[in-house]
Amino acid sequence: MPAATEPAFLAQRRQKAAELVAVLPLPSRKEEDWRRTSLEGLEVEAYKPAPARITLQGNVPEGVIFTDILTAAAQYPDLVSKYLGSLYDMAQNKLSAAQAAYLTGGVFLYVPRNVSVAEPLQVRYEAAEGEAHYLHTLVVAEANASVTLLERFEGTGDYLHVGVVEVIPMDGAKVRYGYLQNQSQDAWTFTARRTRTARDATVEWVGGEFGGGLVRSELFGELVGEGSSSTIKVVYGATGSQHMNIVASEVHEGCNTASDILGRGVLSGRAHTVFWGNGQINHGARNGSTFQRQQALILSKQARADSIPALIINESDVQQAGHASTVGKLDEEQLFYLMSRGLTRQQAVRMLVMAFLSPVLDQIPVEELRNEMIRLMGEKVVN
Amino acid sequence: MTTGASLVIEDLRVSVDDKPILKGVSFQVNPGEIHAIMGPNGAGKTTLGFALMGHPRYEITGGSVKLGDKDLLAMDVTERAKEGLFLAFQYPFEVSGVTVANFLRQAVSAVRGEEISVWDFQEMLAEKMKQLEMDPSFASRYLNEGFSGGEKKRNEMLQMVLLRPRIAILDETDSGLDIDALKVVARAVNSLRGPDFSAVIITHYHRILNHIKPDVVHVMMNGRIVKTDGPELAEEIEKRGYDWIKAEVGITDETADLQGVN
Repeated sequence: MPAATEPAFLAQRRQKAAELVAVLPLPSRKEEDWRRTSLEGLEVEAYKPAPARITLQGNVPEGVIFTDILTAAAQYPDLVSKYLGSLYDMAQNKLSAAQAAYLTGGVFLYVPRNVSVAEPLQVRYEAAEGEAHYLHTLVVAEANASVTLLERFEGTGDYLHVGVVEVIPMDGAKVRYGYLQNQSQDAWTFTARRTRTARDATVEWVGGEFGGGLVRSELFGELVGEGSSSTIKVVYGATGSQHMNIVASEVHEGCNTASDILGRGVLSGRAHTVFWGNGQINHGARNGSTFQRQQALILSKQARADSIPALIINESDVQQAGHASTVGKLDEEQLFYLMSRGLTRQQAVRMLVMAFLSPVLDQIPVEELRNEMIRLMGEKVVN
Repeated sequence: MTTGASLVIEDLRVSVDDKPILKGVSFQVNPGEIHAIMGPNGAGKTTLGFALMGHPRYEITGGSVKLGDKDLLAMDVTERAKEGLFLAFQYPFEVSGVTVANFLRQAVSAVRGEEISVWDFQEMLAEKMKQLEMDPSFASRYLNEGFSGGEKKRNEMLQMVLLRPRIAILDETDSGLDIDALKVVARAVNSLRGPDFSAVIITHYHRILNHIKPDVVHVMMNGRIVKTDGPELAEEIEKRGYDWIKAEVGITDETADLQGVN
């Protein structure tokens, strides 16, 4: 909650947002990408904003700022106010407004020009029953800087998580943002991630979605600078009665820009997932390339995976653009073959699931994150 | 598996999609014996292999099968493998994303009931691959993906020699192989030959039996074993075909209606 030393810009921002909370509705099913997601039963006011419990880990070179966002706002008000909310509009709905109004914590990471942070910086968040967490992660990488940030989200019980991640890379900067969403299966979790690339900048989103009762996860890239690129890799595992709504979108505005979306999910129980992919090349973004592949593997009769790719090309000079999408089941003949060599059905299923995920897992750039994804997939979905 | 076991099949009846394919098959394989099962297309030979291994599509409607003193038909597929039964598939399935080495290490660990270290396994694998004249790069390829017909059969034999089953069923492992590949298959089987190992070689042709000398040859037709004799029976079939046996046992109807389901 507002610290005693909260700077004026943040107090004003909260004030403005609070007015919006009062008038804006929750996201509506009339909006295309909310059409298959029900927010029935969500009462935002029933959850009490709680100070974020954050653990930061990692050594940073001189000049790099890596601290919680409320401290950063007080210590570096000019820097934080310049970028906070610059890519994400708080006035979209009640949740986006509440996130700005009640901001309970988060992380500010600032990397000066030409500085490379070798080791991944890590953040862990915890949440508990009845709490509301309104979190903001703000990453600013100046020209030719490079950094990897990994965030993990965990919790127990029924709570509300509303997070915003803004990644701002300047010319030639490289930012890799990885996350592991392992929230409580009873939690409402909403996370919006945004980036806008400058010239020759590179942003990699690498995510694992495993927890949450209802999950809305947005990964958006806006490729503005010439020669910039953005990639999205998401692995998701849903079971029980989990609902996941994942939106991955790359919009090209600059020339010679490249994007790639790779999503693979495994479903069991009565889980329902919706994966929206969007590759968009706007008029004037010459020689762009955008590709998306989304695949889901269903292990139970009751689970359902919707895979919805979109490709919008408004420029005639395109290097490549395409999408591929499949939803499938395990092959019983393959299972029989593996079991005939002594593997149990569970071992065989696990082997086929990992084989299905390997094209994405092999590309997860941080080994620790990859191993945790494998572990969670084994524990939660294939058991 | 350190000790051999007999395989005793009595009056085995199997249906596929409610259609009877095996109509009472009986024979016994003693420890150390190699049996050949020959017969025309549609006789039910492949059905026998799948039914013994426990494929869910092959419904047992009668009879019994004992492996040693255990009831094979009461076991699930995994248990059958752990008890030492092995089926070399005629058309092995492709599994993208799983390397040959990773799969085989897990399979060997599963059958032995103990985890084998990556190091020990690499050594074992390298030795067996050399024996089967397989390129070392084979181990890191995805299981059967993009393999030629011959490579798939070699891979089946690699699995067999690593798993060291008590009873191996080779379902037309010889078909489509050139002479060099055929010799490799024969070498694999002969390397296991001994009192602890028995094999049932299902084949159309006499050719493989020149390299793996069977103790007993059965002829299967129309879902039954119609004739059983020594290795000379295979040679006779090579020379005279099957018509004389059909005449002898009074089969006039070709089993054409069974094509495609076995």
